[in-house]
Amino acid sequence: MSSSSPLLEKLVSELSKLPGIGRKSAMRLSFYFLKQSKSEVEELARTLIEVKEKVRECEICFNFTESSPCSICLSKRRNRSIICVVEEPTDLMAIERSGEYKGLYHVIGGVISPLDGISPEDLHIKELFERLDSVEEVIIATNPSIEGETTTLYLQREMKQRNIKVSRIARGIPMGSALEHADQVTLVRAFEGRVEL
Amino acid sequence: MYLENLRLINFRNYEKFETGFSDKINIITGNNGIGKSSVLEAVHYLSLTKSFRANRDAEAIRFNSDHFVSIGTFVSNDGIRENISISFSKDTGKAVKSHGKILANSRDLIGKHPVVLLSPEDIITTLGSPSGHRKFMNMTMSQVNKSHLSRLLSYRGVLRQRNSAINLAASGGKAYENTLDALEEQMGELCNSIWEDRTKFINDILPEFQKIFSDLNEGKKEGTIEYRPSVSGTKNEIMEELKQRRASDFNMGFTTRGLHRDRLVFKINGRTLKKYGSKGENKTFLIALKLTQGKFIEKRTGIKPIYLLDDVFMELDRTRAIETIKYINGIGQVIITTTDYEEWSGMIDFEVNRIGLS
Repeated sequence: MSSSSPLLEKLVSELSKLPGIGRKSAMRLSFYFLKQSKSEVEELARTLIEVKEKVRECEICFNFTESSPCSICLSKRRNRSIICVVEEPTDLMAIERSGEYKGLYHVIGGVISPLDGISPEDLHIKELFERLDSVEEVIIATNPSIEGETTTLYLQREMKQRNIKVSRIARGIPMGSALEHADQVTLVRAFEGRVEL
Repeated sequence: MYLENLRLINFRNYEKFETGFSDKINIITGNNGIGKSSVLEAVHYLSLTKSFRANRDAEAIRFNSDHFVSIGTFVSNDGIRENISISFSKDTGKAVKSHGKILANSRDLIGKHPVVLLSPEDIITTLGSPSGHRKFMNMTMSQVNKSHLSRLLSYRGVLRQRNSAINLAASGGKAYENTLDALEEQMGELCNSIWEDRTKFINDILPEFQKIFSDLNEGKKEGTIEYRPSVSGTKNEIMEELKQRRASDFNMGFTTRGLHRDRLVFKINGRTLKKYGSKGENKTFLIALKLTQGKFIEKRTGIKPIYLLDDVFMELDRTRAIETIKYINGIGQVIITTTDYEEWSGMIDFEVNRIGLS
């Protein structure tokens, strides 16, 4: 872009650093901000700063929260003997939206990946082990990738050594999709994970 | 199944090229460097979405162009036509289309229109090196079994992680022992299932191979294939073996055992081909191996593959050439390249479709 405004150029280059935003989208967003009223843009800017200042990781489960420990960790209504392990806060939010799970969470903040130099010590795994005193079951809900699988197997071994019941969420055919469109690996996993009726 | 026609745009030395094929034997004739092998390469693209001689897709683009297209119509056993196009552009990369619609996963195409390729380089690449042996097994099994291909790809991913973990551990980094446990568990499962697949594959093709090889040699020679796995046994046994090797892997800097180190041993009359085989013997062995590959694919999928034979009769004496011709008459669609059509026409007593390039 040959811009007549260096400031606008700076905004575009800042926005295109965001995940999923290319240069074209960054330009579209910049022009959108220019057309918005000043108060609307101020509101957005204020929210950004405020989020950055007030939202932090929960000291227990590492979910994002404004007050640590977070409301899930403090809740009396949740089953405190089950912990669900997820990679990122977004995974936690997805499970919460389903409304099905009533236990606690632990966000480990990524997956084990030696290629990216990420070892178990770089994740919040040690903190998970410290929480296991009154826990009966750990449910592992990592993504079905090679790294997610490595992390699951790692955690499984560690939990077995500590005599904690450990399970993983099922992998298989998504609801609303068709069997014929499922790939072979998914089908193999779906058969492995079949349940007796 | 056969390929009815082929159209090329900016592919190798062709700006535009178009030809039809018969569903039996097609012979492409022309001088060296005219682009006979390029036609086979383009058909290979339509079947497996990649080249057999270029490492990068860009190499197949015509000089001074920025993209190539290879389009062909396959006709299935039931007479159903499918239009496949593969294009590669320097800007936007590769696109695989069926009936003009982009396939989200190009892997879906693999195995649909199987091919068997025999090129002069195969003597070195397929017979001569363990990586060629594995590629031969991988290509064949992936064309008949989708899950085989995805397990190979998973293994490649886990292997990269383990190599990386080994290097990090060797350089005195953090404790990677437990991470290695988790990676080796996945490798154990994959090695076990692929070892079983490969063992079964070699056992399956051996009788057919021995028959074809013996026929090509008028019953005077016996050829065999032996599978030498790097690791074998149950998932747990393989895991244990990988664990045992850690110390030496730390020294070597990579994973020294696993299905990525498997190889084959080829023998003629009990002597290894690699050490004792003549050029002609290598060629005959290769022809038998590829014809067996085609039969295996046909038996497994019910689809007769397309045989792409690049300069197949080079280095072959007349007797073996005639035996080979006898064999390929009737096995399905065959596309052959040759510089010497006269020699050819003297040996055949059936009709062929000749495509002369000039």
